[in-house]
Amino acid sequence: MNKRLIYIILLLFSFRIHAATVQKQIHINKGYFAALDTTYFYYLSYNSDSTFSQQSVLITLMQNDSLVLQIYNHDSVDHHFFIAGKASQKIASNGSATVRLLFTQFGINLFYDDLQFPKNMYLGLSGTIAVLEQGRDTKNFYWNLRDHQKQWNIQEGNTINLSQYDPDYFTINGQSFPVVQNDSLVKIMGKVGDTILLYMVNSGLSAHSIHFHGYHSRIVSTTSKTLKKNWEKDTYPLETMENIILELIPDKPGIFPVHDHNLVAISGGGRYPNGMLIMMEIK
Amino acid sequence: MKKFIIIYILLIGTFVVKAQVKKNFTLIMRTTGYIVLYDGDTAKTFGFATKLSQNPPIPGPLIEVNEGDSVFVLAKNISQGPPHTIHWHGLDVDQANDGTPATSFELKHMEEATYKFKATHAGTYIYHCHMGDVVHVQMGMYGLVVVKAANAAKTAWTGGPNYDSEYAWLNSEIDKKWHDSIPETDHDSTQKGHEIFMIPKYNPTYFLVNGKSKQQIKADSLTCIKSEQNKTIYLRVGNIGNMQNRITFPSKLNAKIIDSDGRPLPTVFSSDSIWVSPGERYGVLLQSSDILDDSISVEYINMNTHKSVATEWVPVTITKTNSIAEINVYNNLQIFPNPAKDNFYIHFNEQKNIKYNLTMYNTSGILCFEKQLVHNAFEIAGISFSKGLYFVVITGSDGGQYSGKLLVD
Repeated sequence: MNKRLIYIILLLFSFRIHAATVQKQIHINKGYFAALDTTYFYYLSYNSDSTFSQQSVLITLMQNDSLVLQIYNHDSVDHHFFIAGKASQKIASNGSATVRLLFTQFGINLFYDDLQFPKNMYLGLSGTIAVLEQGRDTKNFYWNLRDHQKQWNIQEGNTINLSQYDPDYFTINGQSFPVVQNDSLVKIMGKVGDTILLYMVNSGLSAHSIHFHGYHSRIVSTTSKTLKKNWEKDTYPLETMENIILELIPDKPGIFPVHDHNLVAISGGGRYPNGMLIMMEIK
Repeated sequence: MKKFIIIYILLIGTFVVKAQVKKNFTLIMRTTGYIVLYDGDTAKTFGFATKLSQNPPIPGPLIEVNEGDSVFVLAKNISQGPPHTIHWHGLDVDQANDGTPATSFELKHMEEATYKFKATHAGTYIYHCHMGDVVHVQMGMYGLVVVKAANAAKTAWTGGPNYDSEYAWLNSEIDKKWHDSIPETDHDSTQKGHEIFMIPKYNPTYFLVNGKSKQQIKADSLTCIKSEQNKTIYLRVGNIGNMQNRITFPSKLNAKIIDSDGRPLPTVFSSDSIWVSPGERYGVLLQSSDILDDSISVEYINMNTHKSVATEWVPVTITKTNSIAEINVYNNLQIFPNPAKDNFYIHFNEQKNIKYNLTMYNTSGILCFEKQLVHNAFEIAGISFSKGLYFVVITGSDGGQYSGKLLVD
């Protein structure tokens, strides 16, 4: 009986250790997206400070962590911070707001500006909060897929016509191949036998179909309408707003591409190769 | 003890025999092909052929092997233009054989090399050129790899669900403008891999199932589905285009989705439609208890606008079952020995003034042998039947009938 009590106390104690309150800042900045062919277009971004970056902020938490977010809007118009089923907060122009959230479930959460949906999200206002599992030794990578049509972004306030959408640029966390390979959160690296988790969201307007060379992975979690948990696949379709977490345990070393198999999305402004492509390295 | 040693040696021998199954293929890479489109127009193509004289078909030659086979594919590039490779999409081969130009090997003009890999999982896979893949795939350098269950068993995978017949579809699109004016893909021979070139906007106008559209599909016996009531059809579907496919089955086909990307699904599910995105493959079991004359629709969905831009229709015909029930109105009719080898005997009680007709069919329902019988005891000899199961039907001029099975071993 005493033994059991000690276990329960230890268990409770361990939960207390891992349940932290994490404080973060998010800044809504406006600026210009720079493509690799020197094309620039108007862009908005959720960043970790007041300096504009086309790479959105990524927040990682452990299960049961509380998050206190201070959100600053440096734009001259109102914006929102929205997570489906969790948060809907207006941030007035040049104002700020505080959002408090508790994350009990392992998974990935897409946050975005749902005002004038999907316009503001499409202009760059999306980001991810990844909630990691307690007690798992994993190598984690985070992809936010987006697509961009130059002509709709050159001027602020352009109308988005979804029926004619034809993007020119395709990005992972705001960057394209080969520069995206410098992002250690994107370029998958590990060794044989590692447990690698890829947290992936699609905040673009297009559907994407991500293909792994060399390996099959197991779907750990998904919001996809077609894919199911525990399927083992090499190609993963992601509709807009869907997310997926893949578990890869490599069985052999090698350098292998991971890319969109809509092969047009491995280009940028018509230049190939560019877009949604990385070279994964397993040692 | 000796017994155990013999069993052990036999067991090891079995494994050695299994490990030695090798399958060899040759694929010739060409850039001077053409495809005749459904409207009579033609488009220039690149592709894979099995002979020097062959116009490379779209899709390329089927690579069909069994689970556990060691596969060797000799690739020869006889094209004058850019180098080529072969990527074994979904087969999880090692880096050296992966076909990615930057990390594997590429084949320049008149070079050849052999890709080697083991077919570890039954399923449906794709092969395609990965050199400037956005262009070379669009030009037609792709085909299917079908890995059947071990020993070519008629199961979706080793130990998986049974089927009676199978079909394989590889879907794609053609943007004729790309074929009329092929985007520049020549490469500096001092560079390897990802050289930069420009591509035009992609607006396909031809939508293909196994390289065919419209009336071409209806004339293609490898694509159109024909079966019988209550027989199980295993349909393999892959997508190598740049659009999503939504495939919708008549509800009477009772479609069950059983595998994807060369792996069984943890739970089989029923659905009258599946979405197949670029690079994906699915395995579907179809079975109808009714006769059917209908079509399966294949829609092509623009991945940016999410609109269906075209639909192709694949006929599906389910006919009345031809299986032969075992009946015997004649007394004491015997066929022996059964199983038979080179000859067998038929014996039954004589019926005066009645003529008998003997017919034998194989399991596909094809007539293999026919003979008039004028006595009550017959030896059928000197005919080399292939090994397998046969249906024996004897009909008499009195309207009586015997039907039974004969196994030729």
